Amino acid sequence: MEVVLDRDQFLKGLQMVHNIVEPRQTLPILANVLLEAEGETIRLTATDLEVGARVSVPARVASKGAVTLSARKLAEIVKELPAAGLTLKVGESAAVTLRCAGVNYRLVGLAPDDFPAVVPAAPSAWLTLEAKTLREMLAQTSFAVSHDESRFALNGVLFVFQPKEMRLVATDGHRLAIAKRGVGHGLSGVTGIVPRKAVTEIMRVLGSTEDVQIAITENQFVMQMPNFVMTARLIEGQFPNYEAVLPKGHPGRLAIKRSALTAGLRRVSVMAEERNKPVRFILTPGTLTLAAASHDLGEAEETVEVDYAGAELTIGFNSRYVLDALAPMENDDVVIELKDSLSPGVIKSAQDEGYCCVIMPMRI
Amino acid sequence: MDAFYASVEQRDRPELRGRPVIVGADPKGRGVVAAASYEARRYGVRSAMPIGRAARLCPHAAFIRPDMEKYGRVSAEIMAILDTFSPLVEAVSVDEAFIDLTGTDGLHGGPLQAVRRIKARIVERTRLTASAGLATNRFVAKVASELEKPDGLVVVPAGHEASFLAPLEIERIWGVGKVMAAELRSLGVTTIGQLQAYPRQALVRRFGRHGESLHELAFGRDESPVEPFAPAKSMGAENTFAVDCRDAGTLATTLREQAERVGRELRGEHLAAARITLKLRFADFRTVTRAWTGEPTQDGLEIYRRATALLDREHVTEPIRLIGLSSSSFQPEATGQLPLLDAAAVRRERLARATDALARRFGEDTIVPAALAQKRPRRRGAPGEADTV
Repeated sequence: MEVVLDRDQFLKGLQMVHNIVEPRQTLPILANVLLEAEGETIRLTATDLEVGARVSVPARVASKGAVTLSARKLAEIVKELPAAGLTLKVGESAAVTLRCAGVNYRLVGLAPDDFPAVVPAAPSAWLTLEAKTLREMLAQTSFAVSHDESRFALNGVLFVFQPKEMRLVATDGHRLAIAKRGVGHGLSGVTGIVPRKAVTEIMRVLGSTEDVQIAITENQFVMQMPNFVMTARLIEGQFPNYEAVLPKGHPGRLAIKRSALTAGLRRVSVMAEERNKPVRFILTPGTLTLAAASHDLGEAEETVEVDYAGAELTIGFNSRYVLDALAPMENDDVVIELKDSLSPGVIKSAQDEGYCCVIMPMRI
Repeated sequence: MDAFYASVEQRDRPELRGRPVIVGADPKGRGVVAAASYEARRYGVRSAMPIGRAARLCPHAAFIRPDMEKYGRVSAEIMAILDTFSPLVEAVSVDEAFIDLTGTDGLHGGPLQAVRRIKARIVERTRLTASAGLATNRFVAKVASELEKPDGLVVVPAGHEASFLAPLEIERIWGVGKVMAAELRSLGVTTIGQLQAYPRQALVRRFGRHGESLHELAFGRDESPVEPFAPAKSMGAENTFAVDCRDAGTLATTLREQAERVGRELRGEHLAAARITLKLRFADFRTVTRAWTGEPTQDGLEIYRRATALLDREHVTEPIRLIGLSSSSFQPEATGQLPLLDAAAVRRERLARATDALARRFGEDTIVPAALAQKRPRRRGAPGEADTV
């Protein structure tokens, strides 16, 4: 194999796939990225056997062929190279010569034969949507994905395709976030849990302009953009019945500015106990008082004028959960619906119907 | 205390005096030695040794199953004696305690006098002997107490800590187990004196923060105070199987029982544990522990769920000799986050309160989860005929 390609395009391609490679590997070849030259492109593929990604970069292919190289080292090298033409040549026993503007590397590669194939499923139908929309929806849900490995069904974002709507749902057992968007041509009744790692990678590679296509097959999530495809094995297991968790008809309705609540929570939670950062929300008609106390540190309190006409109520929340829920909102008007100190609170944007986060309170 | 469990048995059963006595699991089974009398130690029997090995070393010993309730009563008597000498008494186990005698000179005529009186009082009240170490801190006192068992009294005067420790083996130092001892030996360090000569920086480079404390302890410097009410740092349960186990069902049932036991113990102390550790020992005695930290819990089912998740992740194919779980990182109960998805959790909490009350009144096996109901061959056994010590 011998190819000439542009360093900037090569770097961009590498950066779209090399994060898939896990730092610690059971199989040495999984630390590598597969390079395949054919026609007018070089294809870069990385996989950890669960998530795989492949990107095509334009190249002048003098002779076709394939090799694998350490993903981390290759990315490190190409990052430091000057912006110029770059030549890759594979010699005997997967030894690779890399040349760029007077810089020479000889790299020890591994033969491509053992590299696990990344085979995107052929779905019966794709859903096309703006990359910006998908990224927004993931930002509105991914923070709630569980890190509890004993609850593997919660270690991803649930994708629900319906005829006119797409929903993403994530929960860690304490809070649940939902993002919904109307779609022109939806897919009916398809669901799948996409693992956290794939979600992180999708958010990283999505640009803001172009369209993406996504699909879910029996056991795979596939996303494609021009010259790029990502696959992820779906998490097996039963996602909880999220609709049953969504409170309906909470009597208390609190309207507040997102910026005021965020700033207040940041200030008050400084004095909250370290682990869960519990902050008390004390509601009386027209005011919300945020309060936190710690035996060792002291206490803090802040009172904000709000639009609230319900009964007096004190409820405790993990302040980080509330801040997480507020972060992905676009507008400044927030509505929090409450019932009592043991029932979940619902945080919504006043303008955006497509997002809500349900948070279970803390015992106080 | 000297060979505590065995000494109590010898005291209460005159026919055992002068004979090797081994308190522990069934000698035909696969548990461990809890205590060995000095007569049995002559044959090489040690506590925590597999009971089968002890039986081979000393077949004519009297093998006795432990009576923890009795030892607990005797222990309480001994601790009560210590309490009359100083308010600062820290019981580290049923038969071991630190006592801070600072400022008690006027009462007992100096620390050495006090220790002599404590030892005499223990013999007088319980007819058991204790070994004591008297030093300027906990670590040196503990090492000193171990040197002249039984009925020993070793005094390390202030300023002589380093020279006292120098000839001793490095295993005497807190936190130096088999692995670290082997590593130190590979550096040419076998005695504490050699450790004193080893550069502090080199120890820190090699062992990190631990290296720092190694250096301090080697010179007999220990600032840790005697803490009278030091709360427990972990609660756990483990079982050795009668036959190495490769049956997933038995492993699950055993873990479930252990989880229920640990949950009950946590609830009894009004604590919730954030960290759950799974321990596995294979037929070749290779032992692994795996832990995971999450939301604090005291719910038996939840503890079981976390332990099985750790077990599943290990993809165990070999037979297992011992399985155990422990809980740590304690917090006060009922301060945490309420669950959103597990609506049954609050109900289980109420149920646990009720079953705990029943267990306290009528015994541990009065009421058990259905998953454990069929596997009850005898009242105080563990599932799968495991032996518990």
